[in-house]
Formats: sequence, structure tokens, C-alpha cells
Amino acid sequence: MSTTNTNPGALTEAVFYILLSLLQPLHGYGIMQFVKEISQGRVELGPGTLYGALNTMLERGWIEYLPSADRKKEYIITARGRTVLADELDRLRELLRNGEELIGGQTRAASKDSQTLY
Amino acid sequence: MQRVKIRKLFIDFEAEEKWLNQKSAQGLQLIYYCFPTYVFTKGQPGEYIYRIELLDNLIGHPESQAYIEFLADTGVEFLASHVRWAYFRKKAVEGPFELYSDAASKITHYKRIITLTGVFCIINGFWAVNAFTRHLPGLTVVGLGNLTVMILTLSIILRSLRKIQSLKKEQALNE
Repeated sequence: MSTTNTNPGALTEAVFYILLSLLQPLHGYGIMQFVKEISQGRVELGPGTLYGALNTMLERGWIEYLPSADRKKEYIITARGRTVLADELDRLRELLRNGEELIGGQTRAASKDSQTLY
Repeated sequence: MQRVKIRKLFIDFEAEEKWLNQKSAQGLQLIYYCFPTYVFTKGQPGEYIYRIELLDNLIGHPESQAYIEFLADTGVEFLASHVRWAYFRKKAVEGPFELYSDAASKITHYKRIITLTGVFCIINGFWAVNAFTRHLPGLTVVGLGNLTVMILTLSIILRSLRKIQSLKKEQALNE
């Protein structure tokens, strides 16, 4: 776990996946495609939302521009961005660990002698 | 290519957007807009999905240009602008088209709408009061016009505020 906390709260799903996608250089369309594929169609980024998120991340130094061969601007994660991702993974592991400990292997089809939790 | 021109005035951008998509379903695809005329071509019904957005800056501003360029990269075509209003479309075969996918960015857009609409609401309210207190026959008619616009803009503001409220409730549970 890193000692410096560059991000105090939880990342949104969209931001988490955008950072993940930018471990490699990508432009706007590439990010949208990557996130759609990796989430199996569950997370679809609106281009307006994506643009805003990218600008915020640029401001915070989590990502940066990369000069690319064609005119299109490409983005890539920075060292600070990688730290944010690592911290977020720690947080998610904590949630997962606690969740599995308490709910455990119980799936939606709950055991017959207990109430469904949701 | 056959062109169809329709002159129409809208105060409510959501009604305007709905109208453009209705036209698209009828086979009329918007290709250009210059206040107050909409220019359509005859194409496949439902070929394009249309969206209208209020930008932070005027179209010529580098920020707006960068945004439009970014959108173009994702397959979103910029058609026309009116002050800070931008008209976009995307091919329906490429899937559903929404500019904003999360509550936060939707709220930001509605706040922008409220601010702009608020200005028009107040100006028209002021003009209405001004017209009515002059007691000149011609001005009363004008004053009623101003009052109408004020009421319409007020209803847009209230509706947007309600939408922001429901989006915030959504945010309390999910992001």
C-alpha cells in the first residue's frame, strides 16, 4: 500500500477503467472501445463524459498527452496515475475481501434456510 | 440530394432534440441549422441520432473546437451551431448515442442550461414589467409576449432542477 494518498476517495468505474485503458497510448475512440470490451458491454462511456473526465485527469497529472503519428491526440497514464490505480486496487481488494468473508460463496440463489440478502 | 427547409422556433432544447429525432424517424435527416431554419435531406428513416448540447464557450473558442474535434474522433458529427448551442449527430447503426453517461456530467450540463435560461427568464420578466407599467397599448401586447417567454423559461428551469434532484438521488446510491 502506498504511503502517499494522491486520491482520497473511491474512483468512479468510468475513471478506473479509463486509467486502466491508458496503460497503453490511446485516443478517445480507442478508450471508449477498450472500456466497452473489457467490461463486456456493461460500461459505455459517453463521449462528452469521457472528454470531461480526461480533462480533469490531465489537470491532476494522472494522464498526459502523447505526440502521435496522425493528427489525433493520444493519452497515456503517468507515474502518478499508476499510483492512483494501485491505491484503488488496494481499496477494491479490501471491499472484495470483506464482502466474500461475510457473504462468502452465497450466490443469488440463496440457501434454503436463509433469507436472500438482496 | 433533395433538401427540405423548415422554419421553427424552440425555447426548450429537449423539445427541439425530440423533434429532430422524430424527423429522423420520418426519414428527414438534419444536415444544417441557421436560426431559425432547419435544413434536412431525405434519407433512411432513423439513420441518425441527434443531440443538442450547450457548450461552455462559443463555437469559435479553442476549447469548443478541441471538444468538437475529440467528438469527431469518436464518430460524432458536428452539424451546426447557434451561439453556444451545438448540434450533433451519429449514425444509428453504430449504437445508442448519448453524450453523457454519468450523473455528474449530466448535472453539469443541466446547470449550464439553468444559468443561460435564467438570464433569459429575468430579462423577459424585466421587459414585461417595463412594458406593462408604460400603459401604452402596443406595449401591452409586447409585454404579454415577454411574460409568455418568462413562464416558458421558468418551466424549463424547474424541470431541469427536478432532473438534477433525481440525478443527485441516484448519485447517493450509485455512481
